[in-house]
Amino acid sequence: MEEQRRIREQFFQPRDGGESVAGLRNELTNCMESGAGIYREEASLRQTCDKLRELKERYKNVQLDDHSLTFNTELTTALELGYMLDAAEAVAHSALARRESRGSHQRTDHPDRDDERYLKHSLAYRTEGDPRIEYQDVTITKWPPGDRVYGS
Amino acid sequence: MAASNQDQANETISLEVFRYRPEEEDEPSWQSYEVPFRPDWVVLDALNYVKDEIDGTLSYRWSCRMGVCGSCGMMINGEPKLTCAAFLRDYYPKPIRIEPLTYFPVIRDLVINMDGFLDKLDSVQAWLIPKEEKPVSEGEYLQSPAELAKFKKFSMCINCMLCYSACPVVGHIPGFLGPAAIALAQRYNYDSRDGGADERAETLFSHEGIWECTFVGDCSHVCPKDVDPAGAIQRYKVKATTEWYKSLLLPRGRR
Repeated sequence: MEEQRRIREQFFQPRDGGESVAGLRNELTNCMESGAGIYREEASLRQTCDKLRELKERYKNVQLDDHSLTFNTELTTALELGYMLDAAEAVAHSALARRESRGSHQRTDHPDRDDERYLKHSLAYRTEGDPRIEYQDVTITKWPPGDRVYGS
Repeated sequence: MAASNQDQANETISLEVFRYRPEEEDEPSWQSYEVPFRPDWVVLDALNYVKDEIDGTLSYRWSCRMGVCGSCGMMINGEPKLTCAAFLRDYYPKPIRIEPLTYFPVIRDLVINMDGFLDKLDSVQAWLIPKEEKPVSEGEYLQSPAELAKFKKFSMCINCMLCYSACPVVGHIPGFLGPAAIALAQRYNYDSRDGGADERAETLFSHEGIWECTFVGDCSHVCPKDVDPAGAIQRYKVKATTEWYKSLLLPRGRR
């Protein structure tokens, strides 16, 4: 019930000049693609993290055309967008904190893998501001980490 | 949308879309949308353009965009099709008429209620009923490529329900099990690891089972995965007839 009320208040209020789901989603896609893709570096990740904060703020002002309670796919995509913003933040901030390259996560400013510091799972916790990043040890079973080498 | 297509965006194409909003209107209506015509766009791209850029209230199901998930089936100019596989260029410059899959109740706009289909799938027990149960510790149920080939075609079904909208019998007799449910029952009947054929037979032989099929064949014609449900049904009819004669003519021990 509380969740239903929250959804009504956040998504079904008439707003002036609100944000569209598709517009925010496109900006999210572009900022993740440009800053947190396979090849990334501190500067690009910082830019992405800043942009994500801005998008999360603007998401509060999202405006739906559809206020129906029957198969409202605009509402489901809006809810999904909220979760995608959370997930994107966890990804980008974890990547920023990880000063190494591992697998297909290539930090061009830190090209080597650093098992000493980063043979760890990154754990992102939600806070009032940026997510807090912690680490958890990895249990190696069958496959020890190796080099991923592109194009050779 | 790819940047290389920007230069082709001057042309547009009209969509005539079936709308039904149960909270606002008693009857369905038609709504027109003018969308960019791009030769590499499919109808689903055009619908997504409408949803994102023109009218967020238009409702329809979709997921994978590549003919795997089976959720974007609709009537395109009266034919059941996956909208992810129906190219705008095959209709341009004429308008495209988009309706929900026919013979199904409509929940809203292009979204149909598929409960009846799911009940039919349940009723034929379209899942593996192992011939012999064995613990995991005894390993896999092995199968040869030849045994796989016997049912592989039927296993390609993605439950998109186009065959139900193509089948005139489904239109006349809503209780008819229908093409996909029978093809999927056959998928398990032909599986060397399965022992559930007798359990399925009762439903398949029943009044609303295989015998309602009049072999129109449209189900196989519209199937995006070449499952050939019509073939599956006819083969079951042959098997059922043989079994029936055997039970009549042969002494019990020889059946």
